[in-house]
Amino acid sequence: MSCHGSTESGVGVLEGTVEVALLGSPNTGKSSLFNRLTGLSAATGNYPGVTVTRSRGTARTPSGSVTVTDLPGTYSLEPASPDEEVVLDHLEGRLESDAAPDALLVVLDSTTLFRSLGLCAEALALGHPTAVVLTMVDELRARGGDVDVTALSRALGVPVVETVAHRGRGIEDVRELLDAAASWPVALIPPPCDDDAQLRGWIRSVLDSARYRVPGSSVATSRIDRVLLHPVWGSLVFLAVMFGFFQVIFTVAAPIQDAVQGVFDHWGELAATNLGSGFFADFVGTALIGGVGGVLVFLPQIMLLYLMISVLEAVGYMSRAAFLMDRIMARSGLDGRAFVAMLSSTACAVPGIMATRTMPSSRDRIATIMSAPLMTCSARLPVYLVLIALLVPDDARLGPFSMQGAALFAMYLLGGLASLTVARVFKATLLRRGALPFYLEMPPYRLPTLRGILRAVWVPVWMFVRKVGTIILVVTAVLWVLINFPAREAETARMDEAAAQSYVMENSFAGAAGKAVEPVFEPLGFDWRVDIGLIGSFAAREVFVSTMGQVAAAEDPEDPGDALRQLTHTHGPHQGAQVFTAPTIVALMLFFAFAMQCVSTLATMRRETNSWKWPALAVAYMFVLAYGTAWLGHWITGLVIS
Amino acid sequence: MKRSKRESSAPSCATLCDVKPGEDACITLVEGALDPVVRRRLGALGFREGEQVTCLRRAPMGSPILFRVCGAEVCLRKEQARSVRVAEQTPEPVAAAS
Ligand SMILES: Nc1nc2c(ncn2[C@@H]2O[C@H](COP(=O)(O)OP(=O)(O)O)[C@@H](O)[C@H]2O)c(=O)[nH]1
Ligand SMILES: [Mg+2]
Repeated sequence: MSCHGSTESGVGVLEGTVEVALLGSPNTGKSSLFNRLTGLSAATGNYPGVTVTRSRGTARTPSGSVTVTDLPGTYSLEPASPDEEVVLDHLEGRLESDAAPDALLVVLDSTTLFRSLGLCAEALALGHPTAVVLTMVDELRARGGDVDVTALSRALGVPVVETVAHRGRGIEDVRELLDAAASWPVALIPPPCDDDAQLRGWIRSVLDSARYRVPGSSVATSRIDRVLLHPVWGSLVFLAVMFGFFQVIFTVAAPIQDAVQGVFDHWGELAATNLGSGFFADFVGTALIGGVGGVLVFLPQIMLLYLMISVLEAVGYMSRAAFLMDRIMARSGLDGRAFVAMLSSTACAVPGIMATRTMPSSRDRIATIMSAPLMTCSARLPVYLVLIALLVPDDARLGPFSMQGAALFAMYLLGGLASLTVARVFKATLLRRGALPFYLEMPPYRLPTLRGILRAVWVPVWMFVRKVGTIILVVTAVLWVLINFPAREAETARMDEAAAQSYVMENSFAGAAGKAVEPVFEPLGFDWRVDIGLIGSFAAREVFVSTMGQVAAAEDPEDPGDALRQLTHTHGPHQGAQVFTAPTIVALMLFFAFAMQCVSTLATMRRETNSWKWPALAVAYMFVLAYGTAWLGHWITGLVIS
Repeated sequence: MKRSKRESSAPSCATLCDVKPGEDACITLVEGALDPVVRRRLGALGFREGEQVTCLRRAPMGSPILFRVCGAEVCLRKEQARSVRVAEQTPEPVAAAS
């Protein structure tokens, strides 16, 4: 019984507490139960396969506490996918990080007992002290089903309690049950799991004695599905949902973002008037407020993105999307599950890659892992927003829709098509293989709980804030130093402030680096200042925004908003010409769409594929793709506008 | 699985793939030629011999197909549905559990 990971629930993990593992099929309410018991935030969602790693926490019980582990969902103890292997490894104590559990808490969806008792039988056969929690009893009864918990407990030979996990009903009974976890009974006669017919007989007799009444199908769900899964209406709704998704990011978030921007502008003015001039004032004004603040203003968009994804997941639409998209995914050699991994990658490729653990085929997994980073993640969002604002006037309309929103939708579409194409290429070459079983459970539609949604939004948003406060802050500060030194005081003594700033930047360390790589990106129309941002963005994409913020603040401290638009080439054949022309902006967007500029994604790829080969290959193919398409985009846009 | 049984196959060897939306069927055999892992997984999902299945709907372009089995809604692709043999249900509502 190891002891690590203190919890936020206020009860530390005690030495020698009983270890209890939560075992159950996907989407049965294990994470909801875990969160209620421990106060920790495991991700919950109405999509089979949300928990892909295990979380541990301490649950308070009437006379002490026990350690609970939330495991990924599994349909059987015979693993068919990597996350199911984790379950078995955990149960048998084969994971070095945690000890084997002392007791099993089997979580069963009471609406599907005919099926889930199969897993329960396998769990009982393991011979651990076992207890059972029934979830979804609210849905069971609402749909005309019923079960006698006492009789079920007698038939199974282990304690059984019923709960409504996500609302916390029955949690106190579970706590009481956990109190005696070490002394839960072990099944005397292991149920017959090896023979299908015998297992069926066993399940039937258990459920007969528990007077189980199978619930009818949910009326609301089948009504809604009649529309949402309809071949024509369903596909139209799906497209509308996707399009609406990106319109919301622009139209709803814009005013909030302006308000946040206003606060930062105000601070910038305060800093300028109170700190005077000098290096400290400049650091606060350009690096902190212009740079880091420039990234932080995108918090509303990122929050909305996660809000919409978590709502879609919680109501159960993700599975429907996977159902509708399976045929299209099949064209790329993948299946509907890969679609969900890719849709999660629109938040961040890291959870997207982790979500592939639910896929049984390792080849499909790797093809998805290799293509998921092309999906437009939330780190690209600030970059696109800045560039689209430069490219498309904000009052341009496309019918009733904002043209900027449509441009953003196009970028997301591009990311999606690119990752499907890449997956297809990988499946056709390095990862060739025939069709694999595809199965997907369609949960009933459920109303999301406020608690669950807040948690699903808060965790990634907090991570974004932390990222801004750590890596983005550090890289921005380093770039500030590189942009402002050497100080060149003698040379700039007789210039006015703006001229002096440009002179220093042009002759700084960063300026030298930018100019050194300038020839490489010259064909794409990037000048050395854009290149500085590009170099920085390989640490984190958002650094591009903070660097452009610094450049703009240095060029025109009075009106940094407009400075980017006015930026001109300082030397070379295009001297004096505007830098951010349409072809250059298009090239930049394409470069960001395809380039691998995320250290965490690479580290996750390395961990999930257990080799450096795949991340290295990803960096290489994505760079070639980025440069190639950016060049093409630059050329074509040039032709179109001339 | 095989080319030959494409659309309308003889009722004697009907598979889940032949069950139309709204119809019920009873599973008679989960093909043994199947990869044992796939076979077991279908079983764990509720596709076991003797179990009753309702076809709910098909996705655009005919696949995947959504079934209701053991109280849950699960979808399978055509290829998997073809490997599950069924007997068409004559109206005989003697469900064992209710
Ligand atoms: N109606 C109902 N919904 C529940 C219950 N428990 C969980 N849910 C919902 O079911 C979905 C899946 O829950 P989750 O905890 O993520 O399941 P897990 O995959 O087993 O971890 C979520 O949308 C929950 O809000 C319950 O007892 N009753
Ligand atoms: Mg979970």
